[in-house]
Amino acid sequence: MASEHGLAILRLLRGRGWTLASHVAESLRIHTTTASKHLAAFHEAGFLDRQTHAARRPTFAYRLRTPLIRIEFDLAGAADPNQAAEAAEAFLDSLLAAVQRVGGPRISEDLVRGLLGGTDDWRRALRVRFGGTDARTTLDALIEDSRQTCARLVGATTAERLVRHALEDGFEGRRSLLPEAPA
Amino acid sequence: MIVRPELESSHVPRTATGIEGLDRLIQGGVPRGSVNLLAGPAGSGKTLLATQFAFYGASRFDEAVVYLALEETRESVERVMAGFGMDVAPLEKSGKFVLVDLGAIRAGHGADASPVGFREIEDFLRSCIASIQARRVVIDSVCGVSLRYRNLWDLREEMFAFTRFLRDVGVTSLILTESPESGRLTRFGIEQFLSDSFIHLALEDVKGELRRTLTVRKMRFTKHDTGKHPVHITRDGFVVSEERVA
Repeated sequence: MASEHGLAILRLLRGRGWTLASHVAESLRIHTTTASKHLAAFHEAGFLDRQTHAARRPTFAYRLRTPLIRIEFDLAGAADPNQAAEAAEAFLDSLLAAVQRVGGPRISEDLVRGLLGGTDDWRRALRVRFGGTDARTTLDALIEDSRQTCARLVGATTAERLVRHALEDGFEGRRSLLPEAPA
Repeated sequence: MIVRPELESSHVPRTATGIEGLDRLIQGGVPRGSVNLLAGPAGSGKTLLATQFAFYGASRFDEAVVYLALEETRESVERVMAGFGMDVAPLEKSGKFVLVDLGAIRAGHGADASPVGFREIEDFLRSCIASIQARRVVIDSVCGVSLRYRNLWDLREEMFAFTRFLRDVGVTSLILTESPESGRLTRFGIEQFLSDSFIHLALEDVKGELRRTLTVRKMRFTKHDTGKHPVHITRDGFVVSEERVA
């Protein structure tokens, strides 16, 4: 999606039936290999259906699996690790500032310790956490951990207020990464 | 007459306030685990007395403290304390003193800007008291909480439940409230009935100058002085004079 051709290819496929990589390449004036690589990646990500072209085996034909709007939703589900890590950092930044404001440095430190195992460099620890596993799952787990750890320190009601505010702050401009819209 | 030993004033453990001149009036301190009300008009020294009660608790008597600011900001309370030589930072760092600015979440954020209520404070304190093993709690002040309730009946019910919670968890608490200019002793006229003690601060006009006074109007299990005493705010803080106001 980040490449200059990704979105153009998806737009081209909208309203078309089964389409070959060569047709995409011709329409967008790009190399067939480039089109083919993009189509294969989109198929792997679940955006496109693929079938073997009857007349020209082993060539594949592609079509959009769902309307474009649903593709955007799917893209949100597959969180990019860097974006997710940035959002998580902004979220925690906001949460720690709010917790410190409400309860002072000790509670804020306890929160970091509870969430990230007592490291001083919590940003680094956070990046490490987003390094390996699925970013979506990591992000959801971090938010839930924050909610629970915060509740232990400042009570569930205050924690809910603080976490909700931090989610609004941290995910501003990245709302598609939120597990669900805050109530 | 049968006297229950646990109710006899000399048998009730005391929590010293550390305020110069005050403990002398109340047999060495307020009853341990009691709910104490401190009322006074603006400028009478409520916050100063409360911060000293909290600070001395942590620094002199080794009792962890939660100071809950609802109307004052954290900076404002810190400024008051710093002005009288109370350095709270090391105590905060060691976990002996937690200064809570719950007003910060009330000042808040869109739909969340609703005032904090007693249940929320209770929920907060339950976690906070357990986490630092607090023995003293200050609520500064109850007036900010009242905004949450539509009528006096609801406020009374919730405040009653809250004071019961404070006794149940065994902390010695100091709750601040305003005395309105109208001459009423407390903002809502109910606070003193829900507390174990009632200390009233006043500002009196004496020949064109305002004079601060303190009166212990009520204190359970305590043979307390009932006189009105002049108060001086010195470089070291709140000082209650031994002599009485004529």
